[in-house]
Amino acid sequence: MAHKKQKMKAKGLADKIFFIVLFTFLVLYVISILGTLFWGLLSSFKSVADIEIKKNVLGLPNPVLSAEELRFSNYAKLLDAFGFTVVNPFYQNGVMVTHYQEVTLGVTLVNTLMFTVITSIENAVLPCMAAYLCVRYPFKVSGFIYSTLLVLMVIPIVGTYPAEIEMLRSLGIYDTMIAYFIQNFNFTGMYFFIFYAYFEGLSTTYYEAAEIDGASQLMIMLKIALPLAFKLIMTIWLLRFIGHWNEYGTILLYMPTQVTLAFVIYRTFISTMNGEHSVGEVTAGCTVLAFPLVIIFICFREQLMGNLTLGGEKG
Amino acid sequence: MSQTKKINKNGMNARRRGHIIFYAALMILPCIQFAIFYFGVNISSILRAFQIYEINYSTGILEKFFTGTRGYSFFYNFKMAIDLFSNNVYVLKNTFLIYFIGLFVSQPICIILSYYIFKKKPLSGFFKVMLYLPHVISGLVFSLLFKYITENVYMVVAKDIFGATVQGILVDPNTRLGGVLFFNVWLGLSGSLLLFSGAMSSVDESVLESAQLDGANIIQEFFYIVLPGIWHTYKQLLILGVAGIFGNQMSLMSLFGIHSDITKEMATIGMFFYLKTYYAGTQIVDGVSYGILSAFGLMMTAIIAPATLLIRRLLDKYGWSTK
Repeated sequence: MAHKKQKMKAKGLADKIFFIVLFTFLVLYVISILGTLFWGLLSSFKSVADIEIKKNVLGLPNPVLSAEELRFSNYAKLLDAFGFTVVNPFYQNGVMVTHYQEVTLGVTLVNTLMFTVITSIENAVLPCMAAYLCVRYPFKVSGFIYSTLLVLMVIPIVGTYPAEIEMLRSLGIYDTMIAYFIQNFNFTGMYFFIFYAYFEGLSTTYYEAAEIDGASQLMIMLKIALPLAFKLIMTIWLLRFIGHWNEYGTILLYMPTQVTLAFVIYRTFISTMNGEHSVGEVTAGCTVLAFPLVIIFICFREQLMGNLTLGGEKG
Repeated sequence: MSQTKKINKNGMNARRRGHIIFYAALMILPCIQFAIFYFGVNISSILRAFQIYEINYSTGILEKFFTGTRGYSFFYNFKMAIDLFSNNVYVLKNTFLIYFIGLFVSQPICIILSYYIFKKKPLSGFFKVMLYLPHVISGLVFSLLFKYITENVYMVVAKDIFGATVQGILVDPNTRLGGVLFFNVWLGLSGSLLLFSGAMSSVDESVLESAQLDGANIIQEFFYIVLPGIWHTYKQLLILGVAGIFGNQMSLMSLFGIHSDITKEMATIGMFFYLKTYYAGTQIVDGVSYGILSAFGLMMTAIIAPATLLIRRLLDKYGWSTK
């Protein structure tokens, strides 16, 4: 009995140590993440003299050396990051074509909003609609679509950038925002399966009752199915909005003249390598890029962090 | 056929016809897009692997013609792609390095952290929110901040506290790789946190309770109940990890920029391919054309696609059973 008690005590102690170690690790990790972001915010209010001459890398901004920066001068200087011209020469159907775009704050903001809002709507609504149709109408083609998408998720295709770029150039839509909207006008990817699992779990009584009342198929989808899935649509829309807001690699490759905010910050970073911009200016740019998303995260964290499950797929 | 049956049959046919028209009307455009931008692009990629790109400098026109003509061998692009790879074989080492770091470091830590949150230990709710933050804020932001902290802050702290004159972690060639790997692990720790914690929450509570009553400790509970319970989710992630192995760019672009020599020196296959595609924007640069890149992509696909299916097969056969 005593031995059993001792064993239980030892087990309890081992469990406690395990969780204390994890707790410590998590605390350190959170400090590293928040500390990094806070350092960036602080540095955005420091001058070159403060950081690089006085070596004030960790402290608060010096009120004398960084007097102007404390009045957001680093943020104002970000406006100088705009006002450049992007030149994109490429061969289209064998002939050299050059696209030019003068990048201003207005152009950047419009591009950013179009890029993030429209494509994230496509990424959320189209898989939802396709999944609803496949569940609601179990035709053979629905099964074919489901199986095809499942197979495609597992079979990787490497290196289609050149073919895709050439196709866009042949169609005459390379380096345009419309091309990106067309590229995203599909229902492939894991969100289709998330919506599929959701609609599979819904009772069909709603639709049947509506049909009996004389509702058309379009009405049933728009007034019953989509509103029921609205929370999930919003979650996925938010996730994709965040993804597109932060995207710059796609722009560099597919649409170099359709500059967004993330791209401008990336370009500002490139310029820093030649010493054109100070640490304060770059961290100000980081803050501007991160701030809207932090607000979105604070306001919508329950939706963003809701569990998205793939259901019990065995495919 | 009786009149009622006939009416019913006609009614059902009309109803079914209505369903089909509605279904087709909504699905047709996305399906056409899918056909063009998935199947069309992949077929185009195969065709391009057998095309030579040459700039006619007298006319300024880019000419394309098929291999096996004008003195080029049929598999010319594949031969050039193999040469390209042979001259840059280090990309394979970097690719597998970042993959195995993710597999044996990031993912296990992520699972253990998810376990802490699943057990609803102190501040688990707060940690869950904080661990999600790197998903929300751009990797570019973290890259820039990490870069400056490991240079400016690191150098000043090393000098002031340890009296050592050092280079930035990402500047010093001796510490650069470690710095990049650390950055990827640091940001990637929370990668699948929500998926794992979601999967853990589906583990039967009664099984956990009875294990505790039987005297199972945390480690035993974790390995014998929780891990098998999340096996299906973990298996999917393992398969997707293999499938995406040639796409991982190791955050090099955001840490060093696309024009940096460091990016080229430390490139993974994913980064290497992106760089070559970017620089071949006018279709040919340094003798590397879209044709050669397409051939390179096809060869990589021929390797990774069967490997993914094999891994899937092996995991299905030898993985945990929840029965």
